[in-house]
Amino acid sequence: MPIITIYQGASGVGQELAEAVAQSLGYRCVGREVLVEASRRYGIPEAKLNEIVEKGPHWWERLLQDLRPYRIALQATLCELAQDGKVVYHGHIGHELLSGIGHVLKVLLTAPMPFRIEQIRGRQTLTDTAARHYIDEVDKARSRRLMAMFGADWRDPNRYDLILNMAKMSREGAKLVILAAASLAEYQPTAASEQAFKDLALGSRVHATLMASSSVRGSALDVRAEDGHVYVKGRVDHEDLEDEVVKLVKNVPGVTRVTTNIYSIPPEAVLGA
Amino acid sequence: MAIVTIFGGTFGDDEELARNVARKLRCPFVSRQIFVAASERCEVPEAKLNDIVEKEPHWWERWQENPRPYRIALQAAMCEAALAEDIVYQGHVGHGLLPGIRHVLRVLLTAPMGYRIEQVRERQGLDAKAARRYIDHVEKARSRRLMALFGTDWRDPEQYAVILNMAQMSAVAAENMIAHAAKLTDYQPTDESRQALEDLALTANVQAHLLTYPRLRHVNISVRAKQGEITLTGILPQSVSEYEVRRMVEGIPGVKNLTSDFVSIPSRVLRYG
Repeated sequence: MPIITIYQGASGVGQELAEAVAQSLGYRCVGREVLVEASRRYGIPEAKLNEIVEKGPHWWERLLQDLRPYRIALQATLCELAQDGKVVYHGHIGHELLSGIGHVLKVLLTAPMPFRIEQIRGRQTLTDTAARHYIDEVDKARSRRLMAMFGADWRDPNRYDLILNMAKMSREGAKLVILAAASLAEYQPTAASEQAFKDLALGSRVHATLMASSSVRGSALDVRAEDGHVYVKGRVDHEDLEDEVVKLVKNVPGVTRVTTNIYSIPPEAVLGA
Repeated sequence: MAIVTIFGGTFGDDEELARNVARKLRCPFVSRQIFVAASERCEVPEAKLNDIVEKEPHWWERWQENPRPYRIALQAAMCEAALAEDIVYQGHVGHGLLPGIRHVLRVLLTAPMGYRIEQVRERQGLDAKAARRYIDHVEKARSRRLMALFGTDWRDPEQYAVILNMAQMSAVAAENMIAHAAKLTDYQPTDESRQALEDLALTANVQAHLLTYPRLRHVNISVRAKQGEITLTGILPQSVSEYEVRRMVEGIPGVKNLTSDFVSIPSRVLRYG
């Protein structure tokens, strides 16, 4: 059976649905745990991660901040949590974190505005206009964040396998459709997709480890893994760091070989240019 | 059993798929028939009606023509087909023609641009650039037309219950998914939803009848039907009498009781503003 990611978009019922699906399949249901784990493992304050995924950036933050480390930390953590494949992930951006893996079923939930307004008003006492305003703000902020992180709009239907409209079906109905999709031949793990998942897991783990190290953090590195063989390429701040990179990579469990293609430009040179 | 509407959206080969769904659900497949029936009703050649829904209007046509009569004719035809028995409809007007009916399962198929381009190239022997231009052109024209007809964007995911990404699953898998969803309790007709469909069908039928009357073609009479009770409201030109309208509507099968509340304006006022 596939790994399932359910992105609730703004429907507000993602978690309950994910729990129901997980229960029927005997899966674990994972949500916020990924944020918590990512911050624990890779030394990013949880509040910061949460803010990045959930809230809109300040305009000046967008200029200053590279969001990649956060994405990679989340990716590495989710890959680890989903190692056995029996996971329903209902947190943010699951569909992007595991993109390119054949045995991942990516579900988006939608709901039209009036439905969402009702829901928000049920949870928080707001007027109709205020609720609409709130939803607009949340949506916009989310779009900006995800655009900055992945260069893709979360509302693009082509990024998912299945989109379900929660205003037009019950939670039970949605669960049954997701279960039916999960049993399709298309989403069953194959040797190739398992390998792709392992490569993604190892690559992101190595990458996140590098990003978490205080000495390498400022570098612009790309990491790719192929069956235990890790390729690192990119720029580091000075030459000595290359050895440091190799050492760090070799320490990551699962790495059998390291190939680097690293050049260095001292920061002074960049600033001087 | 549910009524199913399938719209190919950005995925081209939806007819075969819909036919197979119909076979699986053991109900009739309907597509062109709606156009044929509608063109008979509004006395417009089928080819013209097809153009109206599919092709880009001339800029002057957009001013001249009010698409309302066509929508009404299509709606009356669609309601009639859906009332007679459960159908699987394939085409680009189905999702908009049965608003508010709970036991209609609206399905949209999507596919990313790259996939579409491949499809078009295969069928028409175009190069990638020409294929992209062709797709853009077709979609833009269709969007405008559907916008004029229904006042909604067909790409808005909230109009559909289920959206399937055809780049991620085979046609057979999609067929199974749709057939599965159609059997959910959410889409089984209830007394209430059946009544809603009957009311909608009667409304559309009355509207379509009024349109066959040349002098009423451009008069906007609003029609409401509730369990055979018809309420007509609107503004009548002097050239048409309330009596005439009532006589026409009373003769329509299914009309049990008729209430009318018309305002008449002397034609002199209409003529001189």
